[in-house]
Amino acid sequence: MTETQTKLHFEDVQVGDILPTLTKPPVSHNLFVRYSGASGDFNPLHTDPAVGLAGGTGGVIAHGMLIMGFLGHFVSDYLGGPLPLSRFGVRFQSMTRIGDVITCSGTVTKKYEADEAGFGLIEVAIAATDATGDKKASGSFVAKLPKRADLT
Amino acid sequence: MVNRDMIGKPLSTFTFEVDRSKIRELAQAVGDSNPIYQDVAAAQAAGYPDLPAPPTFGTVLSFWGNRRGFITFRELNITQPNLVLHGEEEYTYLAPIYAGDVITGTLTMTGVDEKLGRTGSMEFITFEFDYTNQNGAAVLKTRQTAVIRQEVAK
Repeated sequence: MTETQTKLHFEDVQVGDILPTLTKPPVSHNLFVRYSGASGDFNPLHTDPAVGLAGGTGGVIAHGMLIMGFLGHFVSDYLGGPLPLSRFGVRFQSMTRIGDVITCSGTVTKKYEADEAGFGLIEVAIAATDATGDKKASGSFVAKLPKRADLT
Repeated sequence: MVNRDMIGKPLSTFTFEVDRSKIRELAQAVGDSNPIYQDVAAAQAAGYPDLPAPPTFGTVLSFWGNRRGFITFRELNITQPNLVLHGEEEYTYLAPIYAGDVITGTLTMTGVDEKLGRTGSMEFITFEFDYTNQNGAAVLKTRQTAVIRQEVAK
């Protein structure tokens, strides 16, 4: 049996459910530096304003993976941890700059049976959007959730 | 132009010891204060043997693990990292990753496409990372699209 460490069950989720949103504090240059250290991505596009300007991005921009990291936090909160995840993917759509406030949102789009008995799969469409509605990243995740034991 | 001769060939193989500090640091950087990513006792109380890797821990494996990142770029003839943008990222989770695991990764460039964008010609490169743990079990597959701009946006 697969370990999932989640309290969320397949029966608790319905297609059309809207996940509780997660809004992050405004992103800062300091956060980009911090995320560079955490992730190991030291591309100067994220840390050195001169390089950002020379690269045509108008100064430093957030790592795409910082925004996906915000979405990962959002997904982990919903699932009660990382283990139910079977797939998680996004497409990056626009650049995130200093001061942007990112909100993560999601809607359940599918529910179906898992190959493994006692589990079901849910698919959720997700997006990270700034305060003006500009979409920074969108995609989906698939999670494997345990079914409640049949007590009948 | 990206060196297309390298398509399908492993570019790099590397090993990374998943240490608790890197799990804590990534969770802190993305602002996730869930104690399962910080405190071993809290993780164990929640049923994990040690701190579990957060959903996007693959990025730590790909950068801190693969220390040849910028060398690989040069080998592929990608000479200006500031012209590289991240297009897509997809994770397929095959087994849990915990602090203490020793992960081996292999990086392969799987394709190159050229497209005309707003700022001129762009190349879309697909990279795949395959990760296994110390027991030989496949734990994670990541697929990444990098967009290489040929010139600075006006």
